[in-house]
Amino acid sequence: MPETDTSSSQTRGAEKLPSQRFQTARNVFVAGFEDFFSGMARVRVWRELAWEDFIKRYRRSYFGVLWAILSFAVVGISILFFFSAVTGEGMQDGVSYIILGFLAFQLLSNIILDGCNVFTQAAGWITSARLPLSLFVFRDVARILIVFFFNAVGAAIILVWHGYVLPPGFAWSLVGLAVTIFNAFWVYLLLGVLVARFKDLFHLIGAIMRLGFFISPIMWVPTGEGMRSLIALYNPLTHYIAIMRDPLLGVPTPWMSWQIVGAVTLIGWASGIFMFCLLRRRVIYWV
Amino acid sequence: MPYVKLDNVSLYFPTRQKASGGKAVAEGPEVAGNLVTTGAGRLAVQALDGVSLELKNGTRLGIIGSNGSGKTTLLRVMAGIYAPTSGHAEVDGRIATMFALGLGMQQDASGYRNIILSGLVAGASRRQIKSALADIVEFTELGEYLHLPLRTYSQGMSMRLKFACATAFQPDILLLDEWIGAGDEDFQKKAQDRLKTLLEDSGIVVLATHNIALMRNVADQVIWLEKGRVRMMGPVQEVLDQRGAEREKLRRERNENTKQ
Repeated sequence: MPETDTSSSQTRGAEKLPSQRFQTARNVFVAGFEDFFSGMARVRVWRELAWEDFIKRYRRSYFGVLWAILSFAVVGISILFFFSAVTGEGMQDGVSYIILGFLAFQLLSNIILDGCNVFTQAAGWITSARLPLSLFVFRDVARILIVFFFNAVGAAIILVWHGYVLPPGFAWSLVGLAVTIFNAFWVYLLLGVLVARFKDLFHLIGAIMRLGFFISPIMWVPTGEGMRSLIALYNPLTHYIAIMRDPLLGVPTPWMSWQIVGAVTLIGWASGIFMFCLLRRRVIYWV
Repeated sequence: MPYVKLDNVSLYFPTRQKASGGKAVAEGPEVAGNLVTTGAGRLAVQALDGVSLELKNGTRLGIIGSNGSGKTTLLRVMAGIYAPTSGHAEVDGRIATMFALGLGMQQDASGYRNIILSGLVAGASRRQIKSALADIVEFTELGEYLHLPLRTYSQGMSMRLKFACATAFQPDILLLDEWIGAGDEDFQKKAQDRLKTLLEDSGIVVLATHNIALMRNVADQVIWLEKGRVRMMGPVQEVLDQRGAEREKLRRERNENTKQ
C-alpha cells in the first residue's frame, strides 16, 4: 500500500460514525414523532447551524451583530417619535407599552413569517443529507430566540433611558415568553409543510402579518366596548402580546388571554403534529 | 452487518405542470424518465420504476445509464434522503455520501467552520471531529485558506475540502455520485489513493458514473438503469458489452433513418 494510505487510515479507522438504520414502510405517525424527537436530540447540530445562520447576515458588515440591537432600537425610537407627534401626548406615557408591545409583536411576526420558510430555506441540506426534518425547526426556533435576545437588549436600552423600572411580578413575562416559544414549534411544523406545498400561502400570511401590526394593541390601547376592543379580542396575537407584556407593565394579565392562548396552543399543536406527520415525507419533493 | 434492501421501489417527482388533454404521456424523450399523469391531472416524472435489489457486505456495485435514467435518485433512496413513492427501502450501516459539490456547504463560513459543520451533520461528535481535523486539514493542503470564507475558494479548492470531509470517517456503506470533477492532477491521484483504502474497508460501495474505466476499477457488479427501470444486472463486462451492443445497434438504425 502507498504511504498516504497507511497514515490516513489510522486516523479514520479509529473514528466510527453512528450507524443509521431506516425502513421506509412505516406508520407515518410513528415515523413523524421519531423525526421530531431525533431532531430535538441532535442539539449540537441545530445549535451550531442556528448560530451560523444568525451570524451569516452580519458577517460582512462593519457593525456586525450590533445591528441586531441597532435595528430594533432605530425602529423602536422612530415609533415613539411618530406616536408622540401624531397623538400629541408626552413621550413618557406610552413608552414601555409601545416598546414592549413592539418587541413581543416582532417575536410573533418572526416566528410566523420564518415558520413559513423553514423547509424551503433548508432545501440544500434536505436534499443532500439524511437528517430529521424537525432538525430545521429546532434550528430556526433557536435562531429566532437569538434574534429576540438582541432585540430585547435594544428594547432594554430604550426603556432604561426612559427611566423604566421592573415592576414586581415581572417574572411572569418569562412564563409568557416560554409559552410563546412552545407555540413556535407547532407554527413551524404546520406552516413549514403547508407553505412548502402551497407557496401562495406565504404571500397571504405576509400580507396578514403586515396588517397584524395595526390590528394588535401596540400603538393603541383597547378600552371600553368599541370596535378597537372587539378587534383586539378576536386577534390571537393580542393575547400572546398580553402574556408577555402585561407582567412587565405591572398590570395583571387578563385571565381570558391565558385561556385563549391555552386553547390555541392545544389546537395548534394537534394540527401541527398531524400535518407534519402526514406531509413530512413529501416535503423534499416540494422544496 | 451492513445491508441495503430495496423492494419494488418506485419514485415519482411531482411537478406543478398540468397534463395536456388529461391523457397519460406514454413515452417521454429517450434520455429522461417517463412522464406520467398523477391522479390530480398533473405531470410527474417517474424517476424509479419497480427497482428491487439486495446488497450484502462486500458488494461493489456500479450504476450506469443515460442522463435522467435514475442513477442519482437511486443513490439518494439508498442514502435515506428520498422515501420511495411506493415499495420500500431498508438500510443498515454507517452511510457516507459524496454527491453534488456545494450542497450543504456554507459559502460565507470559513473552511474550518465548514469542516466542523459537515462533521456534525454527518453525526460525528465534537471529539471525533477534533481528532479527524488534523487529517482533514493536511489532506486539503489548503493551509491558511481554511481561515477564509468558502466563497473565496476556487471550485477545485472546494472540491478538496468537500472530499476531505466526506472521507474523514470510515463508513460501512459508501455512496458515490460522479464524485470526481475538479481538482488538479496531484489531488486526483491523492483522492484515488484515499478512495482505494476507503473502498477496501467499506462493506458496501455503490458508484454511479459515466467513467467506464473507473467503473471497471471499482465495481464487480453493475446495474444498468433505463427510464428508472433495472434493464440489466450482472458482472461488469457482461452488462457493458450488452449495453455497448445495443447502443451500436441504435446508432446504426438512426443513421439509416437519416439517410432515407
